Amino acid sequence: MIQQVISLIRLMHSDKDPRQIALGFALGMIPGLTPFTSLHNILVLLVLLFIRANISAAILSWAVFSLLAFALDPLFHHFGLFLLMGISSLQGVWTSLYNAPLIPYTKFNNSILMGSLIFSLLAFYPVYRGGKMMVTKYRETFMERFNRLKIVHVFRASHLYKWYSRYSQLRGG
Amino acid sequence: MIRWKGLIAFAVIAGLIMLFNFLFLDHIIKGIVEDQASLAVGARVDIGDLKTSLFGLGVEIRDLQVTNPDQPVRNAVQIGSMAFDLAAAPLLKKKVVIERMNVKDLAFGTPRKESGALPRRIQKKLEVKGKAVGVEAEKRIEDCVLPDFTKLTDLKKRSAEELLAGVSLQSSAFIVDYQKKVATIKTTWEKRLAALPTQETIEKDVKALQNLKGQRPKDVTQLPAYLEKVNNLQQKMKETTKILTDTQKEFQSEMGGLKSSLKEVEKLKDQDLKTVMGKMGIAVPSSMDLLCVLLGKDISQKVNQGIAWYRKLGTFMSSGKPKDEKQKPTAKPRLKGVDVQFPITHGYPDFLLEQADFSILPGKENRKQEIFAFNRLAGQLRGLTTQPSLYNKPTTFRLEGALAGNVAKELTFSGEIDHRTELVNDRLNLNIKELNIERLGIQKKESPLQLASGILNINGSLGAQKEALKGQVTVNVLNPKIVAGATALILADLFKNMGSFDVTVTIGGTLDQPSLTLSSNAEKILASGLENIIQTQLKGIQDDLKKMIASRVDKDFNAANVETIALEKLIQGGLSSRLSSVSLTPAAVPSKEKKGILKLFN
Repeated sequence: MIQQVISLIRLMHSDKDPRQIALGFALGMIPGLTPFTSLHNILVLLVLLFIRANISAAILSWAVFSLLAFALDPLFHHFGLFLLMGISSLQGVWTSLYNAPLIPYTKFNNSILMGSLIFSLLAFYPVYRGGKMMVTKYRETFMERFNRLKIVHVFRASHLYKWYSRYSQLRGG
Repeated sequence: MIRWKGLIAFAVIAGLIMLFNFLFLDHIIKGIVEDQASLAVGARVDIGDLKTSLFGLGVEIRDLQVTNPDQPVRNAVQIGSMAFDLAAAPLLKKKVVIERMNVKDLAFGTPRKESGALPRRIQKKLEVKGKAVGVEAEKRIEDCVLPDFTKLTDLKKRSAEELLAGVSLQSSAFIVDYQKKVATIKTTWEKRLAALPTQETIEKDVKALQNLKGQRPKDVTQLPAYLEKVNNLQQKMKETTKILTDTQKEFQSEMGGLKSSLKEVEKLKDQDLKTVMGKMGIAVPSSMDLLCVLLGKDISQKVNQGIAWYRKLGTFMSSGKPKDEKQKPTAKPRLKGVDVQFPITHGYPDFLLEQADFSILPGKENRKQEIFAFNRLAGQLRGLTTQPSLYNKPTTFRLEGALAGNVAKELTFSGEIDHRTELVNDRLNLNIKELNIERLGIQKKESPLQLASGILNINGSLGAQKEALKGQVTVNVLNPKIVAGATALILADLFKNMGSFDVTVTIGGTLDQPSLTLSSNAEKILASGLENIIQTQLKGIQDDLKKMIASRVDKDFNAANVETIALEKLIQGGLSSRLSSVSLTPAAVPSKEKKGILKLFN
């Protein structure tokens, strides 16, 4: 995890496309908020591996949103239950999906899964946009200030940082 | 935009997962099936070996053992092997459909190599589910016991005095209380007697009145004063008479009550005899108690086990709702949400076993004692499903065979379970012909009465409509040889020439509260024989105890009687003598016939 945080800091300080970092962060949010062992998360993993999204950002995002999910699960349950049972016009859709091949394996009929998946899909674009804006803003305004901080200088001069840099070079990072 | 390294990584991960499944999938599925089956049954389920073939979707299970929840060292059922293929199309829709299953080598009551107690983690899950694992039936038959008849022999050796040592008799206690009561009454009445006009006072007043009789004034002017004196004295005597009469009535009433309470002593003596006999553990059993201990208890235990298994089946095959009706969401623990069940509009139920064929592996017969294993078995089970309303056919089964080792000539177990609608209508039938007890080898070391040998013909049926149960199990016992245990040796003669008889357990009540009643055609014959034995055995002891109780009580009883008579004599005597003195009072009767002359005395 420390490695991922350091990677993210390095990434923020690199010239890499902010969209990749934001996309990784937004994609990581989905397995973070929804139950991890769900079929749709394989799809998220596929997307993460196939397109150029930042994996470090995705892992950090997954960790942060997993913690958040503990607090939000009761809300997801009520939201999911409302979607599954409260909207009569959707009953036909759910019934068809319930009787369709493969779809029952997604456990879409579980209240928490439905609530959290719909919530994370709705939040995907705002999170992506917000992430991209934050990375850009950070690079424009805070990066210089951050580099000037004494603690950063002390850290960069430390054995730990030197050791980590050497390790990263060996790994080809 | 595509990251080729990522694609390779994904392919590697997928490959590893497939390799993992290939190497360990069978083991994982075995563990899952064992856990889920244990949870469903409420008893440990073990699988010796499980093999899957992914391409044919086939499963083969060997040595399936289902522990008997009431006896963890034995299996309720053991299956040598079962093989089936899963239908592919329904599996895509998360539905397990088995079109045909082969079950070979079925045996009941097999011993386990290791205890079948549920692992702690499964026990915890069961506690969370809050399922009742067993059924508590009506206690009467389940708990029937016989007294320890050896006590009778021991008692005969001991004297009545010894048997009564340290026993507090109610009749004795009553007499002690009675004597105290007599003493209290005596004190009270002595005080009351002292407070009444004394004999001397009464006699003095009577004398004064008699004297007045001869002192009538001749002077008319003195007459009013004279008359007033006479009247006052007469009034006083009247009052004294009334007080004495009332007091006498009150005393007689109290003494009547006291004397009649003394009659209770005889009843209390009988009561004492019963109490002493009861304390010595001599509760005389009925003939049905004997039959209950001999067979009824075992039959009802088996019936209870059957009902418990039927209940488990009921939770698996919930009675149906119409096809297009939504089921209630299945609640899950916190942070796991609930699963909403949508109507199944077409296709298969979540689980369906269309047909299972039962048979045995040829040439296999290694039966040990107390095992119901088959040497001939044929049968089918059709339409076992978790959603009977969707499948719209009842579950039917029929097993026919013979038990190995010539234990039973024929065994037929059949039934129809119809849970298509909420009006559940189920029927189970069991017929066992010529079950040889000796060959079966059931030995109940702790039982006072044992059926050592005999041929049993068992006919059982159980019907369930909604929650109500109705059925009966009749066991016809031919050529019985009944052995009495050490605690019931005196009953040995009773069963010596016992002919064939029937025992019937009638099942009623509900699934939650089944009620079992026992009846038998041997009840009357056993009753008279048992009465004779008990009478012969108990008579001597009873008479001795009766005499001993009488000798303890009668002395005090006589003393109490004497005290009562003395009290009566004392108080009654005192009152009677005063009343007789009062009766000597001359009566004053004013005469209206003789004008001018007042006649005062007769």
